[in-house]
Amino acid sequence: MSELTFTPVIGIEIHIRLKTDTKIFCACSTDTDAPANTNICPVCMGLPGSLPRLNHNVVEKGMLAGMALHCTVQPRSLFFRKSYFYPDLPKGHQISQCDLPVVADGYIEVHDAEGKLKKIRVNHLHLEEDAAAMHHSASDGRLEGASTSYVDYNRAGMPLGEIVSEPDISSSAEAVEYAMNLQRRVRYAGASDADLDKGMMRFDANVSLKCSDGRWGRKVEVKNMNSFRALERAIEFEIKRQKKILQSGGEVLQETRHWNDAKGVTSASRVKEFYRKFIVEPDLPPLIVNQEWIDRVTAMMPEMPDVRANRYVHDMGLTQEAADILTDDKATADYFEACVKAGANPVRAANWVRTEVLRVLNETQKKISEFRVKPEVLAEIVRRVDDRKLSTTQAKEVFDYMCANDCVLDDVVKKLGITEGGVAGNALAEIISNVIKANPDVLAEIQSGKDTKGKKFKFLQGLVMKESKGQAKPQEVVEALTAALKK
Amino acid sequence: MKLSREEVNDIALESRLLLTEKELDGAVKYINNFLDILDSFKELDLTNVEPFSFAEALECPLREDKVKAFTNTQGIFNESEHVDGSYFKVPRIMED
Ligand SMILES: [Zn+2]
Repeated sequence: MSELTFTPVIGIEIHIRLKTDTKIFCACSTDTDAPANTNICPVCMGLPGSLPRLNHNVVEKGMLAGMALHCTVQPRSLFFRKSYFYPDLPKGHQISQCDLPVVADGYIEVHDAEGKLKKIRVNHLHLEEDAAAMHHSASDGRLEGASTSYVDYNRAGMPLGEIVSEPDISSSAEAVEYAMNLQRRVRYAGASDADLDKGMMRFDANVSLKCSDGRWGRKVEVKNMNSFRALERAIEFEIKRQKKILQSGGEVLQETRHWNDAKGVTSASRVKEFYRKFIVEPDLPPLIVNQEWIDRVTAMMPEMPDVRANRYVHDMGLTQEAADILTDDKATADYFEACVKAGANPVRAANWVRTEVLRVLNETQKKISEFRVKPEVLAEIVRRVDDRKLSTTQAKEVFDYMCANDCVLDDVVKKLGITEGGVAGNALAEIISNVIKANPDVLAEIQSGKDTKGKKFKFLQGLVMKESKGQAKPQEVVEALTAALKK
Repeated sequence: MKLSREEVNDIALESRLLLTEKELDGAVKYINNFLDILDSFKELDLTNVEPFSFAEALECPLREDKVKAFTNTQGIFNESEHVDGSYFKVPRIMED
């Protein structure tokens, strides 16, 4: 009997918080740092007589997110009531676009197991409201024995976009790349901050296995993943669990399972799945998006990271790796381009940004918008290195100083005792060391004492002068070169 | 289309209605009568007719994204007996 093989078939649903100032159907603030139950009103609390009024910006951010995923805007979409009873939902129903969404039919590219690009189809993005946040511990923080759950309705009515993929994903690695790509793209589009730590991006996965003997396991919905790592682990756990069942001839039940991040397992949800009944939301007539609006939003779309990275590789000569690092975050890519625009050589500017700038940002835990060294200044530093007004070592000294202090470039150069216009000290030593390294045979000849007439020494001296573009003093070159050759 | 006794009972439960056996009998009869009327629509040729959802050709009115805090949040708290500090309380719901 040949061994059975299994192909995972995975679809992902991702909720992202759309970036707006107010909730989806009322004028309450979306501030996530507000004290509990301060951003509430009769609409998001579902009090009788209140009516939802759709936020224009939610529609626009939904369109932007959809466009970032290559989706098409639907001229007419609709809201439904999705009924279920749970304390996090004050109305007893969630208002959601469900299957008549504002954008549909897109894709995201990921790399398959062989490293080839593969399209994961995005079925649609629909708009809906978030539910309240529940705290299942006592108000004094006790978890055990607490008989009460606490509800914070600040989150109720926060605008969400739910992005539903087709079941085109075949591994946990593809799933994570899909999710990361999606996060990068919606951030670029300005549709969502998609901050995982703030619960602005949450994952559910549908996992089933196709068996080589023709059997196809039922679809299991795994819920409650709040990080890329959790998404990866939950899918891997579920694949293993289902494989075991199918290998022993069992049957995988169609069910909803809950991911427990602390225990690293999925378990069958104890909460009874009610009928998910939908009716058209009678308080919200169809959402009509005309061509003019679509055009306006299309014009707002920035260049997407993959397109941008391609441009860096083909037009600026960057490596794919460098281009990917720089375009990972839009602000970093914008910073890099501002450097280039200010006259820096792209390849060298790229090196500076990815090694020095990102290092300092990482060390200081700051955002690039708060970074002291403006792109124009970095461009000037890069240019001075090119013109040999600064050695690489000096440039790094200047850069580090400027990262830590509010100051202007010329003052720093003076303060650090770097003589401008002349090449001396460290800069000269660097040139000499490079020249010697590039001419090992000449070095060997001088050190063996064969250079009696000093011709070889003159040769090296000439190279150093040339490298310094005539900016070094000849006497200093002789002294420094003599010293270097003695080492 | 006919709904079973069990289905009608499920719907009642979801609507938070506890029906007696007698009331359930009445509800089954009432709902199925109504469905019979709807069944008579099947005689109509509805090819190329969009599902009906709104009586008027309305467009969803939109609101500007501008914060306007509701001032009487205390009034909302007053609507509930189950308040603890700044939270609303519900019986503990286990879900891990
Ligand atoms: Zn509200």
